[in-house]
Amino acid sequence: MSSYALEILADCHARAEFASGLDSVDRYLRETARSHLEKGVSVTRVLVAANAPPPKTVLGYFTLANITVEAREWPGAPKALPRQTVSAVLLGRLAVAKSAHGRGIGSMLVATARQLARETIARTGGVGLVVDAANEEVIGFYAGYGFRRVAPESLRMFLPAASLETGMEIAQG
Amino acid sequence: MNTKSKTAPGRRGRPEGAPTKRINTRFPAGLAEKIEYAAALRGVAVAAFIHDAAAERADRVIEADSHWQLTRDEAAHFAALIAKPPKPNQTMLDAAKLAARHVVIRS
Repeated sequence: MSSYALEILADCHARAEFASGLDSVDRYLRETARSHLEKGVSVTRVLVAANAPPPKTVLGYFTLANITVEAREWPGAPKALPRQTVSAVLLGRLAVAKSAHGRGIGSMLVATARQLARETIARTGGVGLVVDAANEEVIGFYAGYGFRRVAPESLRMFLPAASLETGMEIAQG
Repeated sequence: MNTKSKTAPGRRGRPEGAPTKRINTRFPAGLAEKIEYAAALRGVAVAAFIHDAAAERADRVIEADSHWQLTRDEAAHFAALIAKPPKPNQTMLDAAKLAARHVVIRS
């Protein structure tokens, strides 16, 4: 029996009460995530207790979207890399409720986002998973999971598709 | 400028149409003076100046959310990662294990 469930953001989730400590991500969940979901801009999923009755307390959330990556040239690129715009999955936001710290929620969110990115890439293509870190501290969080910066000052990090392959599968149901 | 579409929020630049929607915000006196000075330098009304500046900034934010333009150096790093993908580290493998044990993906 699973303790937690990952669900697409819906009315049954108590998003107004969500507080991660970072105002921009709290406000995104509260005010923008539903509208982006409806418009097809991005998909926000929330982690809740598996048996939570509505309104379900949001323990954490992340947002996935598509992103195109473009370069005038790819110096030293493998031959397989097309010399044109390529697509990737973007993990735009990930946050854990302050009240749920210390339970591994962040780790579980990263792992599930990674698996969903892998499945998206397997179905529709893509060169990997891009993450947007909110600040330098968050860079450290993602670096811990192996994400790499492509520029020293950038808050954007990357893991190529092949790096998403290994690891235990999370059940879907 | 393309004149076909008026209000699609994603389109570039300042969408056309009459100014009917109010966004309330207050400016510190110093910033207000700076904006008035810059608008005067351009020879445009303050409102038009603020609209253009906000539309330009909105374009950049919206684009950054869906498009990543790499510099030459960034492209080199990016390509190198694809050529030699790092193996998942122990932290990532542990996270996958934890999630596999405790999480079900419902949708």
